[in-house]
Amino acid sequence: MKNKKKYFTTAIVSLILILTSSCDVVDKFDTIDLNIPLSKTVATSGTATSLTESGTFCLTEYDLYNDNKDKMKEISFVEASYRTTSVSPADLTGNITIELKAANGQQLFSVSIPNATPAALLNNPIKLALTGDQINALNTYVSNFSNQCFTATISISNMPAGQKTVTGVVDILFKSKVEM
Amino acid sequence: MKKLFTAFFSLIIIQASVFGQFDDRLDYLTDKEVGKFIQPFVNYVGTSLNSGMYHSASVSDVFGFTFGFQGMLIFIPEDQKTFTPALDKEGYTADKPTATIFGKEGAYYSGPEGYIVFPGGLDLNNVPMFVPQIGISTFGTELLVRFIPKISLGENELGYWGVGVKHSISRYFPLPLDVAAQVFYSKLEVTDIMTSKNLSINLLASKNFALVCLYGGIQIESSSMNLKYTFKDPSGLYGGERKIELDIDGENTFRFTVGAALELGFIVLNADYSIGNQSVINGGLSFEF
Repeated sequence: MKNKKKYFTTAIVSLILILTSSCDVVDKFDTIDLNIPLSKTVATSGTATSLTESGTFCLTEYDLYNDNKDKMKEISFVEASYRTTSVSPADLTGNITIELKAANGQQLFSVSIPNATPAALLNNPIKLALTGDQINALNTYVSNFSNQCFTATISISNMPAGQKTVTGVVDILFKSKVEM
Repeated sequence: MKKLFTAFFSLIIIQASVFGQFDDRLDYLTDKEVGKFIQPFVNYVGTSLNSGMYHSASVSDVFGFTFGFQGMLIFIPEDQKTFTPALDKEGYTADKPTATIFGKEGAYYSGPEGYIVFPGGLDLNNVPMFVPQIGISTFGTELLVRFIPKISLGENELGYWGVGVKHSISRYFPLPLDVAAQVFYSKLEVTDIMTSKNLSINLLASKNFALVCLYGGIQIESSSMNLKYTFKDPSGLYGGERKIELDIDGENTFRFTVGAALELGFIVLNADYSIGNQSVINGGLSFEF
């Protein structure tokens, strides 16, 4: 009888252990890590040796964000890159600067690509190397879920005179933890 | 006893909730990538539902009745936690793996149209499964039935049933141990999400030593899963949202099992270990008359 009680207790303790493991599994099923990509196209054109153009965009323009924003527990920056989608003339050279600002005008990052040939970046993205402070600024901004909009600015300087156009895209990737 | 049954049914309900949620992750994968992402889950469902069908090769010649629960812990091998996607878009290179459903980090790939992104996985090393079962035996043949009544999961319902037959071979030949063959078929369904069909054929043997029964077997098995989900095109590069339905076969095809059962009157505790596509520790509590 004593042995039976012991085996029964063992079975119940085992059950509790399995139950604990099951709860852990359920917790894991309750959240999903999603990567959220954003892209902003900015077109510049003119005859000056320096051109600057900006475009505003918001997280709410993206279905992936909208579908999950109410269940989002956290969001943070992963990576940003720049690519050219069209350029004229093809042999144009200059210094490209990509700047991202918050909706209130606060600069989140500014990264320069000196002596660049935009044509070399045609559909060939270059990763933007952000500093720790810039990443922190971006993360602080987006961690407040009411901050959803950005202004991307593409500036190209030190170009030869004459008519030219450059259309570039700033790609930004965030990762988020979403409750299911 | 009441607490024990409550605990088992709680486990089954927890398990049901898991099946009601796993599909949300599929929404972020194209039909070309989803198979590789979900393959370990198909293997897991097949491996677990093809487990714990026996703890002895002895089958009653007169009349036997058993009911109980089997709990399995399925170990996910490291190589089933990541996969390399096809990335069927010009200018993209899959230069790193991404998580399967049991992996961790979802990868991203930079290319001429922006980032292609993949969802993260569950980051699990092992996953449990629980099934109740009833057996009736006579003339050296046992009918085994598993059944979970339909459980509501919000908009969906989970249902599970399985049926199998075990027949004693050693009743025809004078052998120093019990030998039997068993075939078992089961179906797990979550309405509008998935249907898993599983088949196993065993050859098993056991030998009793006082209160302890040592047993083992070899098993060939197959699994298949039909999945339905709505692709949400997270990268915005694949033409937008659309419904996808596909069938995936499990990679669980063979296993070897060894175990022991402790027979304490009408109470039997058993535990076994199976080596196969995914390894399994199975434990059970049965009441046998």
